[in-house]
Amino acid sequence: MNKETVIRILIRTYPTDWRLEYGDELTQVLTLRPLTLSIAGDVAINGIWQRVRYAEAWQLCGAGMALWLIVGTALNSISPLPQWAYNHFFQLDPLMCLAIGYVYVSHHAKGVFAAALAAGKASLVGILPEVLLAILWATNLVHPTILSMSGTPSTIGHGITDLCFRKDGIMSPAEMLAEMLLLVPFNVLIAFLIGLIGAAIAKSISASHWLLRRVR
Amino acid sequence: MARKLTAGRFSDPELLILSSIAEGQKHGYAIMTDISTFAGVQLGPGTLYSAISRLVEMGWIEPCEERGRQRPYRLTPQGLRHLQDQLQQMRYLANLGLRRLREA
Repeated sequence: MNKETVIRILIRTYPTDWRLEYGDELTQVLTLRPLTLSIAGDVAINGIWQRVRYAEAWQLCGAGMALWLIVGTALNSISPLPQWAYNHFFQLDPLMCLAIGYVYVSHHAKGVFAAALAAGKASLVGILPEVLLAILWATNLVHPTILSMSGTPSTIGHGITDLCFRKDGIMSPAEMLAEMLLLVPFNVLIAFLIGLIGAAIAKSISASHWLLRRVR
Repeated sequence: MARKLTAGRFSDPELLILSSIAEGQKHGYAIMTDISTFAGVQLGPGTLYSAISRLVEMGWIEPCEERGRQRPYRLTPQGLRHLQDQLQQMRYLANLGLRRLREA
């Protein structure tokens, strides 16, 4: 891989708007200097940081939900999560969707529909690791002992060792893909509705403040 | 040549960039080499341009007319005021610290 290709890849770590403004200049500076590992790291880290700065709230929340799912799945694959952790694990997603709906209306001055849509999009991003895992599972690229988080210890199993000897928890690839086809739109729809509730709460609070001001 | 500064607020990329272009408009590469000369700080290109974009957003520097692919930047009046405030605070802190060191 030559220097120009590496520079092009590094510049791609920045968001499009930022690249349009500063991409040419940064490319020029990188061309003038020897491209060491520390310079490449500096450019890549700042690129990711700029992406975070330029990202919309739903993108950050979606990434957070995805990360939560990845960490939870990884932990559960290493050692079993206790029952209370299973029970509460997926409660983060609805809370996040509620918060997105609320914040989009109260802080970003968006409409109720836009807020609900943002919650739906965040949920879609958040569920991507599970979809990816299901695809890898269905295509036999990962061993089925990697746990799915959509269950409880009684239906899914406790960690790798228990799951290896379980018979009822492992789905066929076709069953898994069919479940995903239903799960993804269902999740997005639920997130949309929860986002709608969050937005409605924000609207009600703002309306009650307005009423209180009028009364005074 | 000025004394080399290596740590703390003195090495904030934003402050170093503002100090560099205080003497006149400069493009990114010139800012980087100037900072390396007067402060002994090697700013990475990613750090440099992230700081430049923040300074432009804050209205403390602004781009001038492009020269080829390089675009020079200059201080705005707000940027100049901010730099003066920061440097005066530093001078106050430095004087205070030096006085206390002498008295100790």
